[in-house]
Amino acid sequence: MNDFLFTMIFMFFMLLVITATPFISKKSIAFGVRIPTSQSDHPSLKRFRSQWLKIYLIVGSILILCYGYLDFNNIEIGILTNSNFVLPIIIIVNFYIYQVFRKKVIKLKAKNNWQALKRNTVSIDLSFRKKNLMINNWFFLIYTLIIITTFIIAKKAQVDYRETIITQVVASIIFYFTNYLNQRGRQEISIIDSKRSSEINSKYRFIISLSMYLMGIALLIFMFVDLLYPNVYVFSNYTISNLIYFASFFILITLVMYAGRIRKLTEVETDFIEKNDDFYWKLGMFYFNPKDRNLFVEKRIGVGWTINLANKIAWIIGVIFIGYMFLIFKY
Amino acid sequence: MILNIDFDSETPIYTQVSNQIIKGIACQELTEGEKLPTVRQLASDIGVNLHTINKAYNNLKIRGFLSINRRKGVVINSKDSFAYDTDYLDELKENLSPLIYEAISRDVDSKLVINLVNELYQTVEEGK
Repeated sequence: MNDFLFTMIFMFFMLLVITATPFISKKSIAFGVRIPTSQSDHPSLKRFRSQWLKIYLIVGSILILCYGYLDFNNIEIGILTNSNFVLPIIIIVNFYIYQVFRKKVIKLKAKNNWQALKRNTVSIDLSFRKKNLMINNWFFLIYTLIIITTFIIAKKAQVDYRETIITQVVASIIFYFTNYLNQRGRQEISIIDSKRSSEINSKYRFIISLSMYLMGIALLIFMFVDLLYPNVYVFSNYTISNLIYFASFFILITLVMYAGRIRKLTEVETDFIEKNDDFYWKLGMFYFNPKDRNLFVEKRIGVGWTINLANKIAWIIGVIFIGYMFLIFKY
Repeated sequence: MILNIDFDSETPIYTQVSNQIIKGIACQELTEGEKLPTVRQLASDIGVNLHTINKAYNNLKIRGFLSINRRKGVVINSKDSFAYDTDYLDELKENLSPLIYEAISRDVDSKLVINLVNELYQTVEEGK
């Protein structure tokens, strides 16, 4: 019952997050396609968004409820009961729907000839990096403290801590590095009203940085509690580690989505395309640009950073990451 | 301060960068001791080669506007470092001459040219 309810809540929450994506991503990008920001509320785009909303809420809910029904009653229909297969199915369905909408926007863009309204210019705020773009590095000492505490207490309690500590360290490095990207990652500010645009973007980056930082803390504490007190129940079937993890996850994702929404609402409007880089975004999600020296670029959909697949280092990182995942699953 | 780089312009990018930084100094948007982004950072932001930004910064360094320091980074110099001297006035004259000759050949009155110069001075004054 415990696991089942959590899975259901988690899946519905993720459904809401995916459903909300077009409503919180940048004005200049509609379903992975660059558009003039002033066209972001074009009647067709509004219609696409409301179609997206309906499709996701209806199809998603039906899928989740079917899965829940089968899972709850222990009915086995082929692969449906195996939770390892649920994620791939969701990813494939999500990918397909996304591509359908992306094609629609590409058509709309061609029909209205929006690509002709492009400017080959860029604006740079020289003082952008002096703004508060991320949580100060010193705050990451708390990460180290949590890991050390886990180590000491686990050693005293004579619990096997190796796996937890390694995972904590790797997670910390990843969180530290993503935070660093908020400072270093390329600034993307509008060439119209650049100062305001720079303000909006820096605030957004700070909120993302803060949320990720807190998410990291929650994750480390979760691992700590899960290792040492796996059987402490707060009420009925809910362990304290489950509660910490899910509560912080829900709160912080909501915060990130809220920040995205605010950015979308306040963003500077231009009636031309600032950078027509659709060509480099394969399938609207994979960045492949040999001319761009940057390894990390801001993601096109959603929040965070992605790698430039035209960069050799990207593949090395990919191989290391997959190797790590492989090791975790194997042992 | 905001840099606006136009990739379609005839003016090379390194000239656009250095010209706008000088304008920033003139308008006092950039003042003594102000740190500029590193070569690597600015190149990645604009999306150009490191070489381009190096050229712009070196150009400004030679003219005394900024110093490039391994530890402190790129910093705007004090006004004294780039105060004008006779050499500069000679250079200014040389740079202006083709523009003025063209104006004269087009029968532009010297008062009109002086007015334009005053106008530029005024925009900088207002920008301060």
